[in-house]
Order: sequence, then structure tokens, then C-alpha cells
Amino acid sequence: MSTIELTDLTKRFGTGDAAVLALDGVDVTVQHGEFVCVVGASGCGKSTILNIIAGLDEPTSGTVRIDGRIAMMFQESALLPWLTVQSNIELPMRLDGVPRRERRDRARDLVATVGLTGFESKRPHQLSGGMRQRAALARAFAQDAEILLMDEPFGALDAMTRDVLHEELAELVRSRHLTVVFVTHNVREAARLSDRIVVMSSRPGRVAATIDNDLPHPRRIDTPEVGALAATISNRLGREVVAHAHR
Amino acid sequence: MLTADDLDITDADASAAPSPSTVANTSSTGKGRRRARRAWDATWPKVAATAIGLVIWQLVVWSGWRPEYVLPGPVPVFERLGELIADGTIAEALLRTMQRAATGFGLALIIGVVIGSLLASSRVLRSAFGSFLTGLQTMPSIAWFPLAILLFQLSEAAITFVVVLGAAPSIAGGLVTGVDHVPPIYLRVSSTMGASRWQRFRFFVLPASMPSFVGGLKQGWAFAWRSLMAGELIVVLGASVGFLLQQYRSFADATGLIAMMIVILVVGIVIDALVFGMLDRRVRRRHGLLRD
Repeated sequence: MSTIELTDLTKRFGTGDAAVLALDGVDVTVQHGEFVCVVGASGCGKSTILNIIAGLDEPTSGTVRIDGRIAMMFQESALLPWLTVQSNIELPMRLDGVPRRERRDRARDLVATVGLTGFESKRPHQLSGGMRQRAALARAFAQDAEILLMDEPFGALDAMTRDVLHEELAELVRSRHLTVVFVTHNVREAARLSDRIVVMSSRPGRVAATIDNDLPHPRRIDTPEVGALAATISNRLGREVVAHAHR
Repeated sequence: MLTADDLDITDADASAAPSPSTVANTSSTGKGRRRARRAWDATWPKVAATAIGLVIWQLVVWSGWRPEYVLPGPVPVFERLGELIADGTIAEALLRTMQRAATGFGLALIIGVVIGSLLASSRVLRSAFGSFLTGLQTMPSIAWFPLAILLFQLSEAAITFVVVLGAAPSIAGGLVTGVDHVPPIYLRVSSTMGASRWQRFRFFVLPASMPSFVGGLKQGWAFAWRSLMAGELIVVLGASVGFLLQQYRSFADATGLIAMMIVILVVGIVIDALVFGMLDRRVRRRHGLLRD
């Protein structure tokens, strides 16, 4: 059974002449344990899809079926600046009423999992961008979700930091059997991480193509195979951009 | 921020990330000297400004613009101030005045927070009373005194009434502004975490609005202190700071009068700097809005 099922999804922002059709008849199905990357130019509605899955936005029409708890990661870490790393990670458990001691122990384990041991009492502004995203990942894990939604989470990081985090993310997602929907405009990133790639066209946002990614694990972002797949995605995207320009 | 950038470079390789102890070590060496340096940097401009003020004051006195029994110079005034401190006059007056300030500000805090929370959480209440709140903030508190005296006669209650009306709107306003300016990303995070309405307010909105709230407290204190001085001049009850001011004026005792004015100025500044300035720095540091 599929974990996420979006059927004939339409999203319109605004009304009347100013109305913008962000999504038009989008069908996406994600299987349990699958890592799906959604790629597209800016403004193609890929973040809107995530927001609809997360329940942050209502579709104008269409149906959304979700099976499992959801956690979400944003481009900026969105850690709460007034809380320490430890407290940020404890927060979702606190909202769920997990007892203090258990909360503390589990948060400590998660801190170790993402490699932030020793930084528990730091506040987000004292960390680097990469470390903040690690803390945000740990916080997402603390929600005990089966589904992880990621909205360009590594978009603001330098290439080297991103490489390391790709590797850690792939490993953690596999060991935790998470279902992931990962939005990005970086085609190499999509080729590196995904099991399947959904290519979006822009204005209105439609699914232009779905590409299966059968490259063997472990992968590296700088191999010819990943590069070749990235080129395929790029071509497909490029055709969309050209088609859009002529429309 | 320097430290964040430093960490960013090494973060690409997790194993080479600096251990927290080395970070702590480098920042703790020479801490004492740096603190003394910072204290001096913060102090000398104030000392210089005060000195310039005193010199100008003395020059005006020497110019003979007004006879010295009306406008005495700094030397007799500070001598008088010393006497008033030594004989306990000021301590007694300050005790009463500060009790009133604490009562009034404390009440204003409670009322301001309740009203602010209500306005911040209900759109209907906001559109009904929001502009009213702004109006109250701009209303000079002394304009409330005639009504206060009709309602409560010349009593402590009349003073408290006006102090509360002076301070509460600023406190409520600070809270409302803070809630309005909570970055939307935190609200999105609270939704993805499945926070209830109350949890969203308690764990996201309230802490996020702290910097603005503390700003409201600071402003509220300024209004409370002004209202209180106006109140003590009008409702003369017991030996207080305002009472002494009024008494020296009626005895044409200019040195005593100016000495009391200095006391009022100093108390206002000291409370603002020590209590609210410290609170402000602390909150801003917690929020990463201030360099450590």
C-alpha cells in the first residue's frame, strides 16, 4: 500500500484576474520506504506539493491520502533561536507529553546520531549552517514520523558540507525505513539521493515526467553514473523550460 | 558572526569539527581584561557627558542670568544632596515612592499581559480595541488625574490608577507587536509538529515575541515613572519624592528642589539600565540578536 497518494491535485492562489494556477492535475504516489525527489524550476509548485502533504496548505481540488506521521524540514533550519540544541530536539516530544527523563535520553541519542555531541547546550546562532541542519534533522527524527518532508534542506549550504550531509541522510533514512519526499532544484542532488525523480513543469505546475533511479548504493555525487542521470533530468527539465517559453 | 563562520569551514568534515571544549577555551582567555575594557568603553562617554553638563550648568549660573538663590550651581546642590542622603530624608522618600512604583508597575504588568494576550489572540477584539490601545499610549497620563481624584479622592488608589493607565497600554502594546511579528516559519513548524492552539502560543508565539515584549516593559516603566511623579505632585500624601519636590518649591528652596530632580533622573535611569536594560540584553542574547 502506498504511503502518500495525491490524486488530481489543483491549487489556485488568489482569485479573479490575479489568480495563479500553481498546481494543475498533479498525481503523485509514494510507496512505503521510497525516497522521492521532486525537481523543477522555481515557481513550479514543488514546495506547494510539500505544504499540501504537510497540511500547511489546502488543495483547491483533488484528494490527499497520507498514511503515517509527518515531519518536515525547511531550507532554513527553523530551529527556535531561544532554545538550545537539546531543547529544540526535545520540543516535539514535549508537545507529545513524553516524560522529561525519556525526552532527555532520546534527545541525547539523536544528538549523537547526527554527530552533534558536545553541542547540546549551544543555541542555533552559535552553530554553522550545516550543524543547524543536522539539529533540524534530529528534531524531525524526534517527531517519530514515518514520513519525512524536506524542502530544499541543503540549498543554503556549501558543496562540501552538503556532500557529508547527503551521505549521512541516505544512511539514516535507510536505517530508519523512512519515506522521504525531497524537494530540490539541484538535479545532481536528486540523482544522488532518490529512488525516483518527479520532474515538474512550471506555470501551471504539472508532473512532466517520472524517472526511476536504479543506480546502486552507496552512491557518490561525483561519479559518471550520477552525472549521466543528472544530465537526463536536466534535459527533461530543459525541454519543459523551452516548451514553457514557447507557450 | 565570527564563531559561526569558523565552525562552518570545519563542519564539512565532521571528524575535524572543533570540540566544544576548545571553543570554550579560546573564548575564556583574557576574559577579565576584555570585560574591564568593555566596562571602560561603556563608562567614559557617560562620564564625559555628565561633566560637560555640569560645566554648562555652572557657566549659566556664573553668567548671572538668574540670582543664585533661584538657580544655584552644582556645588551647593550636590552638598545639599549629600546632606539629604546623610539625614535619611531621601531614603524615606524613595522607600515610599518606590513602593508605589512597584505596586503600580506590578499591576500594570498583570493587566497589560492579560489585555495584550486577549488582543493578540482574537481578531475581533483587536479590531474593536486595537486603536483604542494606541490612543491610550499617546494620552498624557496627567490628563487622567482629574478623573482619578473624582473616583478615588486624594488617595493612594488615585496614584496607582494613573500609574497603571500610564504603563499598561505600553506593556500590552509590546506584547501585541511581538505576537504580530512572530516569523511565519515558526508557525509552520508548530503546525508540522501538530501543536495545539495553546501549545503554539506557549512554545512558539510567546517566546518569539519576548524581545518586543521587553521593549514594551521598558517603555511602560518610563511612563509609569513619569505618571508617578506627576501623581505625587498632585496627590500629596506622605513624605515621597514628589512631596519633597513640591515642599521645596513652596519654601523657595532651590538647592533642595534641584537635588530632588537629580534623584528623580537618576532613579529613572538606573532602573531602566539595571532592570530593563539587563532583561533586554539577556533576551536578545538568547535570541541570537546580540553578539556574545
